Amino acid sequence: MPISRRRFLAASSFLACGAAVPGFWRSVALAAPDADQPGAADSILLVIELTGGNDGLNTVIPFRDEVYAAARPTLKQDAGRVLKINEGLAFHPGLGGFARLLERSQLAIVQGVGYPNPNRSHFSSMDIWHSASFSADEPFGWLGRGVEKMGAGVNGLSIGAGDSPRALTGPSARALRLQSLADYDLKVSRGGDEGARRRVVEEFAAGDSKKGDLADLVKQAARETYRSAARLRQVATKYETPVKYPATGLAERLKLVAQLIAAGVPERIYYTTLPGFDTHSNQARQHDELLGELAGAVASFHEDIAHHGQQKRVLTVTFSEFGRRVKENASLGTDHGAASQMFVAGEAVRAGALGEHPSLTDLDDGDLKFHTDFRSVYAAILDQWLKIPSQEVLGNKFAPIELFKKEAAG
Amino acid sequence: MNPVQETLDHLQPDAAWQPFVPDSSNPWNDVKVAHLYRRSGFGTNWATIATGVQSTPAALVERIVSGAGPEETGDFEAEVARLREGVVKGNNALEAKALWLYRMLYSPHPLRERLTLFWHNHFATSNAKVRSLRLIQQQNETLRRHALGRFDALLAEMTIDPAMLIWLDSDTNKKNAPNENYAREVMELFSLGVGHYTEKDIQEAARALTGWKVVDDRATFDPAQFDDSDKTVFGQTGRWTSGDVVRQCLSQRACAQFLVRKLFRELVSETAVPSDALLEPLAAGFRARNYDIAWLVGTMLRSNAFFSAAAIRQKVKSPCDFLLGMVLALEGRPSLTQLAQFCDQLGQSLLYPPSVKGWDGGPAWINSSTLLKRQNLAFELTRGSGQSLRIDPARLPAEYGVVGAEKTAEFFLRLFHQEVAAGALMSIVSQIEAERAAGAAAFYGDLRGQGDLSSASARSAAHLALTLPEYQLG
Repeated sequence: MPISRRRFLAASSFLACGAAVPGFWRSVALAAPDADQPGAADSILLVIELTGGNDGLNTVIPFRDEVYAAARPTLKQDAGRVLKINEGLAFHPGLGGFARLLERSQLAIVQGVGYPNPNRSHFSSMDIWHSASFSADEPFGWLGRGVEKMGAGVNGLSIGAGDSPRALTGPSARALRLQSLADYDLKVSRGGDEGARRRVVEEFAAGDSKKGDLADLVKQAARETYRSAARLRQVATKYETPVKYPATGLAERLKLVAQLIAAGVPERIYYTTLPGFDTHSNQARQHDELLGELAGAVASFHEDIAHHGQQKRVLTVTFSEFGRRVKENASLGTDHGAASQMFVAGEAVRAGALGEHPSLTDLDDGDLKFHTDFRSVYAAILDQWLKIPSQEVLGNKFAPIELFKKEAAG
Repeated sequence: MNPVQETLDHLQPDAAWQPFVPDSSNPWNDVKVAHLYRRSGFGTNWATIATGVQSTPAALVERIVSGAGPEETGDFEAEVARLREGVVKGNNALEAKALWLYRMLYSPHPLRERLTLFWHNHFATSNAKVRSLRLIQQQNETLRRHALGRFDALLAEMTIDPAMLIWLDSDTNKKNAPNENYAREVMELFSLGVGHYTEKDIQEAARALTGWKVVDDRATFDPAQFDDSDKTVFGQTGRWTSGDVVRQCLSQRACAQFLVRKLFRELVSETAVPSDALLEPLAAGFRARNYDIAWLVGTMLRSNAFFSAAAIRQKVKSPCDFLLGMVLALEGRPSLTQLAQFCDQLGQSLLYPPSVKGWDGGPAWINSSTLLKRQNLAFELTRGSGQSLRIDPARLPAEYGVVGAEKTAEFFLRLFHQEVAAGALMSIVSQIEAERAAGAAAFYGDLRGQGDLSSASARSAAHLALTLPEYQLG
């Protein structure tokens, strides 16, 4: 039986017996954080896309490896300035924020991530990461498919300008784009008593005829929507933080996410991008700045989240469509490559470098080889963090990597 | 028991599909006229509703089913053909969507567009996979040509439609490696529904469907890839071809019932579930008339069931219904690419349905994200600014000779809802009077008065009337 028919029948029988209206947006009270339970059903995921193909080799660096120095005559980072992770690995000097998170055991570095037959086209590889599929037929993203399984009240939120990312698209248009808190608002004409105007609209949805008919269903949805919008109107005015975010675009976007989480909105999937990683020429300065923006924003965000008592609910994940060529090119830059690392931040993670750094000599057409399929990372996040069956989202069973501390994993 | 379901269950199968004849206890009025225009098209303006009330249900349905005369239709089609050539050349999906919205808004035969959309959802094919606006537009034209024609012809053409061949992998369905995708969907989704075929029927039908591929944008039959051996489908054995599979599906009793039930949900009611017995007169008539869609649709639109409480406002508006309904009621000429974007944002990306099952529709259209967007778009379309929108409710009261706060509020409630709820009227009137008293109108920047009511108040009244949750029902 097609889904449409099933849903129709479900809706009809609901109408026929006048039962409780399905929650379109759970009331804000119900969304109160369950902070004592890591990876609980109210867990939150923030995904940061590093657009353009991040040079993973100059991000987490095998700084003692002579092959590294030889492959990167101008771009190699000075062993005296890098921030040590362990005996053989170090962060790029711009990643001070990540070093801070690692000291607090809140950062996992998942090494050697990729997929078979790496595609070096930005567009195609990004599609693969977003859809978690190699099929051009897959219209939806992995998070869009995931959010469908999170209850009717949860939407995916894309933070910042531009279209919603493919990763968040699903069949029910549940991806919202947010540039500022005002976007979430119920709009009425400006000037005069805006509150009075809004109250008229809100009161139209008030009352419950108890008939359980179609109009009641829409009214119920409207009431819950307006309640959440009203709640968000207060977020900006009530929100306070001692954390001083860096003055960067990413920091501003993550601060907005922190505000929403602190306000207890029911959303659980957030997505934002940091563009500019396609460093074919004069990479050094641009890459320094981007890594600084990334680590500074993520560290401040997690500090802020902790200040609001939400640190056990929040997991931040970064990815890029590919890494870059091991050998630098003649333009003081690097070209499109393959395997790279993902960063995962949060209290629940197994901190430190997970898996080996890919060999710098056993290469795939000049690029690092992957040993961890990105879908195994997705599987760990879906199964153990968001508590959604990964097989239903990814289409196949991927063995989850050991990403979380034992007590946190479910 | 839900009263809507009760209303439907009280109808006798014969009486339900008899033409509705108004009487004093069940009069012909603006509620029924607007209902007819919403279901047979995408809504209409106040002048058309008022004219419709002066007509009879029989005459109005007749006009809606037959459409405009050949001259008007010819002019419109010529214009659209020109636009379509540009869209295909430009290969811009947003423009292709906008062109369809143009047809929905301005076609001299809105029922045909309504049904083209229905068939697009029935034979749901997405350009996300087909990746050719030319083929998708060509399929859309085929759907339109048969929208009110014969379903047997439509099913036969869809089976070898190039976009469909790509969409359901028929172009890789070969003698030595059959692909069952189309064979399954033609039975499950396009003609019979689950429970009316076996897995074996699908496997055998897949072999009969082999040999087709797309060459130079045309469906081409390659005898070398066709499995010419015996197949047994629905208990009959022969060296069946794709044409035979179509014929066999159409000869199943379940086919007419399946389509009638789906059209009932589209045209009559989403909330009341009809019994097989209630639908049987329609299914029998549909079969006897060789799947004449115009007969089926006309019978439904004329019927007692259609004009009953089981039908009126018993659907959730799709994004197209919602957006185009506002545009038509407000008599605006907005930017169509912008409307197409709005439609996407609300979850109905035309030519890109989410899967072969089409859009779920019904209550699934409404969630917190889409409802907030709908309410904010209602505001966007009534604020009277933004050049690209070219739509302004402030023009309407003068055109219809409406003067005064109360009359204006009443006008917009009647325009959008037909029934005027006393509470809503009072809320809107007191709000716009309070705004006038506070001089808030000055904030809107347009003080050219109309009667004793400013443009700003007219816009406020229109906006507030649209935010009544009932407006989401079609």
